[in-house]
Amino acid sequence: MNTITLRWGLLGLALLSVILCINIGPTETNSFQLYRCLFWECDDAFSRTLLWEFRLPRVIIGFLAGSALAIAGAILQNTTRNPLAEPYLLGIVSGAGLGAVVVTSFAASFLSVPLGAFAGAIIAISAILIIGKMTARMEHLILIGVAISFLLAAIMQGILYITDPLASKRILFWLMGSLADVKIHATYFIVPVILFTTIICIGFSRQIDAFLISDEQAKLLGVSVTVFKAFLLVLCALLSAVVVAFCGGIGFVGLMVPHIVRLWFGHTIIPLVLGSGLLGGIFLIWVDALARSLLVGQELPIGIITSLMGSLFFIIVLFKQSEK
Amino acid sequence: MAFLNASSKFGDDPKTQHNIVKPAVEVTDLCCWRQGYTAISMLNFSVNKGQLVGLLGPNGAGKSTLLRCLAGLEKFQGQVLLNGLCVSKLQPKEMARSVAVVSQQIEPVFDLSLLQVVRMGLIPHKKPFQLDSQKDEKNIQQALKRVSLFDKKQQRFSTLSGGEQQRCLIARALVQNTPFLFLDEPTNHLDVYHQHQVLALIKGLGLTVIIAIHDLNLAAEYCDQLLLLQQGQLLASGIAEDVLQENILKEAFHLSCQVTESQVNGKKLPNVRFFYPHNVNDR
Repeated sequence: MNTITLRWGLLGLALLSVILCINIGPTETNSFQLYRCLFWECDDAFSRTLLWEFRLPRVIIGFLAGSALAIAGAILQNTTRNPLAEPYLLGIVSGAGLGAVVVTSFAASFLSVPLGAFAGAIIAISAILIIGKMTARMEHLILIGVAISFLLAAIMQGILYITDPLASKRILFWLMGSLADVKIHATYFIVPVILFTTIICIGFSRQIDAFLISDEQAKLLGVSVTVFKAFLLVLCALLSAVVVAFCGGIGFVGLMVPHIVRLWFGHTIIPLVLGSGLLGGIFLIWVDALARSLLVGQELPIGIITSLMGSLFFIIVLFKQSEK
Repeated sequence: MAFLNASSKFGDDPKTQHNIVKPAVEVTDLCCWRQGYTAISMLNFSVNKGQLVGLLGPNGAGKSTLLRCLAGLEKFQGQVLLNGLCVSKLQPKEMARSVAVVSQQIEPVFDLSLLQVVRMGLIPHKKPFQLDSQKDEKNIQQALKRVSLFDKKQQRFSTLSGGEQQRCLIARALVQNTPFLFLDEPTNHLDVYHQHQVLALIKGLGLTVIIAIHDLNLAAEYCDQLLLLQQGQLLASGIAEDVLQENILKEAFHLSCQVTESQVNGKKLPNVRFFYPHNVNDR
């Protein structure tokens, strides 16, 4: 298959997936009515409420969350040249979770949760970079990230238990993620961040691609390495934070999706980010559809499925690396 | 004479100032430490515009470190001026517009095609969102042809041989289109034909070039000026006949050698041959 077919195929698949996933869910409904409501000819109030208040926001935000996580993974992998880098394994998701939990435990408001998540994500990234620099072990980025991730997650769980002894459900949300309670206002945060990041990646694609060789080569080609890299990492923190603030801690999407996209579109940042944005979205809404319909009467946290697939994928990547 | 000196010293007469050729590369009291040891100590030299300078010396003499200092990759004491501008004060982008560097070896983890690597030479010349012009495409193709890699342009960089990778990086440096070109052992992985091809290509560019090189005879053939380094200091410098002398080379490389004269393309050049003592007791 050539790249152009793949590109349009992926776009078509994204649209098709959104339309199909709207029809999946535990509530019994008439599919015909539901799709009629989608195109503004609604004569069934129940279908209208179900579609516009529940199903559609959930699918749209699921799609955007998958996109954001996959794009963050793509940028992290390319700029650190580490194929295992992704927001969850690097502890950025835990950091964002901690930030959000601190804010919700003490002073929750519409704006403060994503801001708190962003602050937590930045703290996690800074901690990784500082420890990496201090130990001169930048190649062990993932190990440092996992350690940071456990540390921040432990602090977060501690806070949750202290503030609410029956916090297990909330802990599950921040650890495993869920799209069950998403509100459409989440798009006000996620969409601008995704758009901004994508535009930066397109505009500065040459500079980002220079990182694929080495930091030193990037410097020789005129890239202000430290400043630019820090800026890109802040963007990744922002992407992870907006997802975590509304959907909880969903793992491994940022690991798997860019790897598959790279097989199709190559390693350079523009096709990688655009492809990851689409495939990440497609992937997450299908996982969510699965989470909704796998068990009768209750929902699986979405992160259980992504972690299950992602950890197996992680092992496959390790095997592939050892073959080289 | 005295009058002339005075006027050139103060430089108020524009005519006389025009006659003074300012060196393109000016290195003053350069010192560089790497991981606690002195890699370069009190180095002074200058290179005129358009010259091809060969850096010679045994392993660990400081050739690579010197090139890294000149390219602004190492912290150093002293002063390095490129066309009168201080290297340590230049921004990466300005630096990349005036200096192209071909390092010894690079290993990209993520795989790029040869064309993509060569295209990176455009980075310092492009604004964000700016696309490649037709002229850029032409330059890239021309650069690939000049290192005879045009037919392999779609190949993955990592599948190339060491010599091909080296030539690919030289093509990238050509696309970067800078007045200065620093190369760290560009002939390292190349076969005899491509050694000559690359050096003739570099010489033909008319840029100010500094190369670290181990092959003394190739250096004698292509370089306008040689700098012989030993333990971070300048042991000898000048044209090939002055530097490639038996006693100097013996001191630098700790091997006895014979310098004869040979004719290359109608030019008389020194030809060096070293003798390694095969008797163990002589070593």
